[in-house]
Amino acid sequence: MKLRTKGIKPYGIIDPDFSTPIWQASLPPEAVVPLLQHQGAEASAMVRIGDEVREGLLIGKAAEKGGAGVHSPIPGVVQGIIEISLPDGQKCQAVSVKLKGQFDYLGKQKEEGDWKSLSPLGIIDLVSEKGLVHMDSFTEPLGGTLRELRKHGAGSIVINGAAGAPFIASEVRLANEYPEQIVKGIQVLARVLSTDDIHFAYPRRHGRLMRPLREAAARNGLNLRFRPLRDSYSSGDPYELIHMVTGRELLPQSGYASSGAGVFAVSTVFALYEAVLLRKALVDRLITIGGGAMGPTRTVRVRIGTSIGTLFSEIGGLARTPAKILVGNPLQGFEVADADTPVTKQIAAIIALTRDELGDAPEQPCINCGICVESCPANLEPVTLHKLLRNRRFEDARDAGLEACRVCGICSHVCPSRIPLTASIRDGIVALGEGAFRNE
Amino acid sequence: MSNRIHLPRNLATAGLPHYSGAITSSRAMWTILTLLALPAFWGVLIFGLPALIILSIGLAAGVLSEVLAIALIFPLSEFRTELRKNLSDGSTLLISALSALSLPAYAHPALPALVAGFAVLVVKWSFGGLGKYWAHPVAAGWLFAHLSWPQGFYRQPWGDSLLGSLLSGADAVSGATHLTGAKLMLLQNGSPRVLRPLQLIAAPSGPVDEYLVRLLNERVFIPLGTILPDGYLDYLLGFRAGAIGEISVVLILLVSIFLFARRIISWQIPVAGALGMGILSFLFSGTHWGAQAATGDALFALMSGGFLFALFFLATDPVTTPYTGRGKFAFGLGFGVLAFVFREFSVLPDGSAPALLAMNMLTPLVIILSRRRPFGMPRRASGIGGGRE
Repeated sequence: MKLRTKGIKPYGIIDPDFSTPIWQASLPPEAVVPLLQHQGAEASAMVRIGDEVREGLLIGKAAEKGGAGVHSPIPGVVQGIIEISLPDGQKCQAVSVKLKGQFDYLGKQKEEGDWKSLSPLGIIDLVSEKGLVHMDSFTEPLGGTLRELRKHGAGSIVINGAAGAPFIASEVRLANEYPEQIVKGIQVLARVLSTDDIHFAYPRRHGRLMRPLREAAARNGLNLRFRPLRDSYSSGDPYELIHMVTGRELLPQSGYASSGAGVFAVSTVFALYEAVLLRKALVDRLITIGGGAMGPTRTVRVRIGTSIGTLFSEIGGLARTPAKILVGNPLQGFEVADADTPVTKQIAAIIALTRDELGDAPEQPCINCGICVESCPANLEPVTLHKLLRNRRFEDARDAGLEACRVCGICSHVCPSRIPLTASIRDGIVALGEGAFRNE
Repeated sequence: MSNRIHLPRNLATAGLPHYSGAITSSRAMWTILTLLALPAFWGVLIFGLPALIILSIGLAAGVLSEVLAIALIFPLSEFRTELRKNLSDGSTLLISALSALSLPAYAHPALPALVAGFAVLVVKWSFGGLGKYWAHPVAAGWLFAHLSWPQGFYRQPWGDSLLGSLLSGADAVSGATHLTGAKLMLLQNGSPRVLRPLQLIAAPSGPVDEYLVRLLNERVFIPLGTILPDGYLDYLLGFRAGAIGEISVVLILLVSIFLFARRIISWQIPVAGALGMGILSFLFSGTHWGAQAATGDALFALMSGGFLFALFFLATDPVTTPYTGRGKFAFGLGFGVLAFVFREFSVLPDGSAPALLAMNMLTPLVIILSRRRPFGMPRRASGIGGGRE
């Protein structure tokens, strides 16, 4: 008997749209391109103030092997190199480019180049050079991941069509609207990792939208194993996908490179197609924008470096006063305080919530209802962890499974007493990383 | 690659949670309270003014105990904020209302004050308030009152009711329930060798039951080749003696359906509890009086006494029950089994309260045994059960 519901069906603050055409945002008058757009070291600026740049020109060189370069998303003149803070709180240098001159990059239809003559390592170098990163929840650069996976020998590839589901539409839309491109991108991946055990995971309720991809895979002779996932959040979690494919359960702190499976979001595969076949640098991406303050939910293709404020004014302003603006999935994302915050390679959604949608209420004592325990995808007891951590019993918290937490945000979301469970456990994991446990 | 903390997804600074989807716990308690007005209203309709008085005394005593407890525990400067906070979460009112509803209308007027006072002052607050106590306050209060002052439950009538004439038999006047009657009769007469407790009591069924049963039998059941015995409809609809809140099975089920739908109470405990009680009653009720096995009256066992009331409104209390899904099921099953055992073999007419308290004591153990292995960990989590501080 199944007595437990894994994950949650969150009460819908955004209802992703799959019917209206993808909105092409026009070029922003100014782009602020952060030089730190993945975990690791910041890229070093390659341009000076006053330099003219073209679209796709390398403006930041990866500081380490396996990093990702940064490219100018718009043609123009470098106005300055400034320090900004990213939504996740880190500070970094950013190149500010003012729009000027012709744009020749995305307007034209590009010919698909030859990639079959490239060696796998040559492809990886191309991926790093074109600035590719994981475009979902992973924060590593793609080149580094591919290198690691190749070294350890990845037995399987999982293409994640459920990343960010059910909040984010771009993964499903790309698979539905660009099936040929996705199939070619998967073929590149298969070549790099030299495996043909390829799985495509998607939310079960979007099975109908996957038909074009099935047909395209059959046309191109790609053996794609379609794996429907449950419709609840967080079914697109990479750790669950790795478990589904390899049977191995990974702790979030352990590197996933040795797991024998590589997980790639559909948007990452699409960027890979563009980089390898079209030789196009990563300068734009699909973003879901929604939330009660935003009006209708839309999927927008937007240049990296466009400020959130510019994007808002382009879609005609906000419908209602927002109480909170988030980037990323609404349970895990980051709050944005500044409308000048630029869109980066990893932002999959921008969400503006009204006061009503936040569901704020004063914190109350825990009533042991167990909803957090029932919904935790990692089988943890968030309430026990919270109580142990509050009393600084770190060793006990570790025994209770602290390290298995993926900070998915479900426990806080479902808590009827509004206890900040996720934040408290997250702080515990940070303390674990800082070695507080040994000192206690 | 870097010396930075290896957090999943770089979440070190995210201000989680961004939004909450769940109904708040105080809203949940106020919802239960509001819905309890249905069985309370029915009780007042059946038993009249005395029921209303019992209810008012219970609520007043509970609130007064809360004020007293807060005055004793907190410094004077925090008194007002604490009082407002604790009264607004609805838990005290819920405990008081359940205390009063679990008493018969013809009980001594001091009894609800005793039950609610014990529940709030001793059980709730001596362990530190909402979320901290290990025993269900109402079950503990009821048992305390019943053990220390059993006569209080069987007082002579001191009022008359609106719909009292529709009640079956003279039991209603004395306040003793059919369950008490059955138990006394079995004690006095020994082996009765009857199949149905309702036959054993031989209490006349009320006019509503008589009319409906005759109608249903003529129209539905006799053409189908079966017959509906007397008495059950009285139980289903609520024309019977008993505690104020427990008499109408239909209303209890109606309220529960709403609470299930809003996910305020879990399904595991009621389902498992009804299974445990029903199956055991069917198999064994009456065997120790000489009847055959597997001839028991599960329907009567479920509908009589305060079993359903306790199952849906007391046993589903989250504070004193396990928080794991499997643990809830085990808890419900244990509650049903123990309620059957106490009902059949103890001096109490209805075993719900001691069964609930016994299961409350087992809650930490049930949690430890029903834990799951965290994803990616080699074994089940160790450490404390119950997540208590």
